[in-house]
Amino acid sequence: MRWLSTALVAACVCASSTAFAQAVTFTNVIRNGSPRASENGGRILTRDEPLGARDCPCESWTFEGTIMPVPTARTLEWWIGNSATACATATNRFPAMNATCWPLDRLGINAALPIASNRFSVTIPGRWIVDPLTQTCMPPASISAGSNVHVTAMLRPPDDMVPLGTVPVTVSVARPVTVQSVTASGAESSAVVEWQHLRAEDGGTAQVPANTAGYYVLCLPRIVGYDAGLSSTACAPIVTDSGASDAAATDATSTADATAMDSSSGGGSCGSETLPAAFDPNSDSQLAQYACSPLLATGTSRYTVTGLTNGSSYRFAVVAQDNAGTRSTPSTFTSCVSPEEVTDFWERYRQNPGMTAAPGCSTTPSRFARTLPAGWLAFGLALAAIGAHRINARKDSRS
Amino acid sequence: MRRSSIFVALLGAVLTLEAPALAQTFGPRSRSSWETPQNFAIELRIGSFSENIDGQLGLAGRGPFQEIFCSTRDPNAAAGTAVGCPLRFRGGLEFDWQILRLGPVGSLGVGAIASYSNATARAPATAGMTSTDPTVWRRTAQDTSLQVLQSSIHAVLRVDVLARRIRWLPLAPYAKAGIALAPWWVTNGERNARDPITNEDAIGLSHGFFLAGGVAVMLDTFEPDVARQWDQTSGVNHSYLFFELNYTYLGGFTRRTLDVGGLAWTAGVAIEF
Repeated sequence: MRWLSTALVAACVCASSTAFAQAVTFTNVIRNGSPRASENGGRILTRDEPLGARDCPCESWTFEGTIMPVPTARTLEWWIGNSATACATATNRFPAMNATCWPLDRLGINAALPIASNRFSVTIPGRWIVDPLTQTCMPPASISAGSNVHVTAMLRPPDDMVPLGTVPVTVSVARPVTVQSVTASGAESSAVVEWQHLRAEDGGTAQVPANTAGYYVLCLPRIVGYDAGLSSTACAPIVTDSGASDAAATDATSTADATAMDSSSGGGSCGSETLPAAFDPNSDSQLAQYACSPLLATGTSRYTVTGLTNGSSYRFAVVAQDNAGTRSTPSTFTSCVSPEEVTDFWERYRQNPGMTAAPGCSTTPSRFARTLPAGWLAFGLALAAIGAHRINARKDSRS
Repeated sequence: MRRSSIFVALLGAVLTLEAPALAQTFGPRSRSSWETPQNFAIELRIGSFSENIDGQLGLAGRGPFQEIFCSTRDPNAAAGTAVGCPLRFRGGLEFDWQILRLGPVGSLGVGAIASYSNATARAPATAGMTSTDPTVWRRTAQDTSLQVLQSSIHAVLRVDVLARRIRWLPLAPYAKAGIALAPWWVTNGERNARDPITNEDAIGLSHGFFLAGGVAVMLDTFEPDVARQWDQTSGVNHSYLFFELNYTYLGGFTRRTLDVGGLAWTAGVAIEF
């Protein structure tokens, strides 16, 4: 009986491959519009890097490939599945209950390919990839943070749809764990900010979350003119065939943010000023207004904010950023800290009465000390010359 | 200048002795037949950091170094608990060229040491320095550091006859003497401190002399077969653990410089090859 079942399976595979001979091959995936593109020296993000919360509203993904042979009288559709095989089963597909595969038919990219072409190029906004239902950059419950979604090309024959190929996209829009225990101390024209960033699942006893990319320190009142290396403009809205609502949504957000920022930028005494209620750390333009540090490397837990005014008061908070570029909510702001003048070792040394009694003890090296390096160099050259001579002598004696 | 002239003359004498050594890495009766030629030594050194800055000012134990670097409080201890001068370390490397083999007795050569050390403490707030007791000064979160890159060029006399001839006494005493040079710089936070009078960076170059005496334990005694194999495969003749006491004067010969040297101990490992 075993040979019979094997023969039946082989026959089925053969029949299915004969009936649905088309196959999609993805040859290129191009990412455009991510605000992260300006980070890391303008390096273009690759398809293997996650699609983060900052990418989601701004970015578009263009999938290029071929389909062989060219389908006739059929429609090529694009779906998003939460696994490579989710779209293969009709009961998984939207509008089924608990669907795990959703259509992108609102994009207007489901038209049949021209008969003579076997190449396709489809551009999908990031927000459609993350959330094909509402495009709010919040994935459906069946897509967990950091998991892969699969952009799936499907051919609609008269009776049913057949997946032809998928390409995985890692989505990581969940906010990182918020930084804890932020403290600050005043120093000379500066303040030293220290913090802890621990994995929440370890009860705060273990190390930094594994996917942390770095930190920004925020200052209140903000330091006017500080350049944290962030873009000061909001990302351009994605324009698609059906993208009018996308643009409107992005513009609305930007306007609200700008209004909130304006209301908070007027200064005021320390403690009375807060971040605007609509502050979104994932917005580069908003973060740029309050950041008083560049992106600090992961592992950093202490940073000196410079350029402050002695006697003025400041408060500080820290935002974490993960490898997908997604940022945490700001930590709790510290209490007010005032930079003040400090006395370093050399100032104390120079204040000492012993200095006035012995003015010769200065930072300027003596003539002897100035010439000594040259003497060392000459000495080293002499040693090298003797060494070379000795090696030659040894070679001669051996030969 | 007179002292430096004397030292240059001493160095010249050492180099002059080199000439007859050209033909003798080791006498035929003072080395085993399986030993490869031996000309150099390298030491990996770690030791205590010492300075005589306050003493140079006539303020030993109460000068600026003591105030800034030795009078801080333990932030985790009860109020009023002052930390003494913490033990600070110096790490470095030494390279020796064993120019002259003194028969079975030992070797005479020249060497150079480069080592780094620093003293760091939280800088006090200027407004909080009203007391004469530095342990009650209010410290800020800003660090201030004295960083020293100490180096020397010296003559080295190693007496290894005991270690080579008496198996149960693998000790090789040695002595070193030479000139010392130490670039140093003071930092205030993450930048160089500025001189309050000249407004220049607080950096400088100290010079003086270096003396050391110590004893090395030849490790070949414990694993002679391994030592022999190491010699034949890698050319490493001997390996040692050593401990030495050294004194570095860096207060300057002709002009006073910041004396960032002093009496210190050093230990480490060494190989000869």
